Amino acid sequence: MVFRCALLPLILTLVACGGYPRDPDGTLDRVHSQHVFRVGLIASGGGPDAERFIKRIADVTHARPEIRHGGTEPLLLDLERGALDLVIGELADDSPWRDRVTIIEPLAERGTQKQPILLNPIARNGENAWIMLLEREARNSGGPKP
Amino acid sequence: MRHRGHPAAIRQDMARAVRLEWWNVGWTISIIIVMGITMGGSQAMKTAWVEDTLGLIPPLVFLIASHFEARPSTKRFHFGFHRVNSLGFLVAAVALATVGLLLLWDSAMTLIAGENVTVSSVRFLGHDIWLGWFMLAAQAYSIIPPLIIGRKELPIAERLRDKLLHTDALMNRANWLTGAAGIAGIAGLGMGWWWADSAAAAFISLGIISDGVKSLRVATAELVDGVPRALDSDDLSDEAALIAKALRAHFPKTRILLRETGRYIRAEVIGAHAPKNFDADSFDIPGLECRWRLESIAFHPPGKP
Repeated sequence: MVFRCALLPLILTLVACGGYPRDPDGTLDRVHSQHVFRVGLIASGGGPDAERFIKRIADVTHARPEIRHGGTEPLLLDLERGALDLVIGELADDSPWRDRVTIIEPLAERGTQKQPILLNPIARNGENAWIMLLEREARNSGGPKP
Repeated sequence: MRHRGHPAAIRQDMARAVRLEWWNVGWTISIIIVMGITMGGSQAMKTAWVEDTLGLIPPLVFLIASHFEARPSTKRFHFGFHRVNSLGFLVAAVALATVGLLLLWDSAMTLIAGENVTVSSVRFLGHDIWLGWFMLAAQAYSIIPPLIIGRKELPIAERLRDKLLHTDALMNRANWLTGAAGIAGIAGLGMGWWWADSAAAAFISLGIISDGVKSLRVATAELVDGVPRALDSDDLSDEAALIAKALRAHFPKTRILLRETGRYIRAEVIGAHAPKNFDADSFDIPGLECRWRLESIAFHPPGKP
């Protein structure tokens, strides 16, 4: 009981101060303070949908994208260890990477209905504030066209 | 020997306990649904959900056991069904210990792997809301029923000498503590402390494992005809000690054996003939308030093994 009574004001204080949830590794804070975010574009992931999304993120964070191109594995490994903030690319629905990184809502879709291939922004696990921002912008972009 | 129904002295409390356990089942199912809807990808929420589901086992087993216990003995079950309660107690003890071990395993694995947990957001009425808020609300809801029901169960379990009901009270305690740890964990997660969830859960799991192991020891002792144990520990029951003392005083130079079948104590006097017109119900046992606990006194005449 005492525990809950103590917790409630703590949560309210946090909400009042803003910045909740926060990133364990401070991605969003760093993007805001350094005005740069590091993007990895998987070979098949370029194109107008990805470009529009990167521009959106640049506009809302007032930061400039630093874009690298590469293969799926090297870019996702870099994302996982924090050397990239965002990867955009196509992943299969049952890709084993889905547990190791956070897949944001798709920007575009191709492939068959049974085995769709989705163009997703991908973020590092646990960076919840940064992930929330990416999710919001992916939703605002309208998602895959039917 | 009483082999039909519950003794009059405990009938009211039994009815109360059965009512309470039906409430327990209903609330637990509602918690399982709410937690299931909000858990998303969070491993901590999934573990809490599995625990809430395991929390259904003790009340269900109690309801089944209390139904059987009241049945009369049959041609195939000469001693009636008192021991269904003992069996239920073992099942509940296993469930409790499993909850503790599951919680410890899950949190230790997360801590060792250093896993950062993603809690994403949903769009609701045009607003992007962090799923952590829904998880916090679900966890807060999951705390209230077990906190209230567990507290109500304890005094009834004590009066009924019901170790199964007592274990369910411990399970309810485990569930609300896990909920509290979950709240701390998700709130910590929002602060960017990825380890908060697992650290809180690991800490709480130790207490649950200790309760579960203690219950397992007592349940096993009961099923292998050990001497009657106290309700909440592996110590010998005070009532069993009083019965043994009275029998020893009345039948010196005999061996007194005691065992427990469910909530009842059965005594055997080895090396004595039963006195003429002996009535176990009126045999004087100084200090024993709950006479209903003594189910029977059997006699083994001298010279027989």
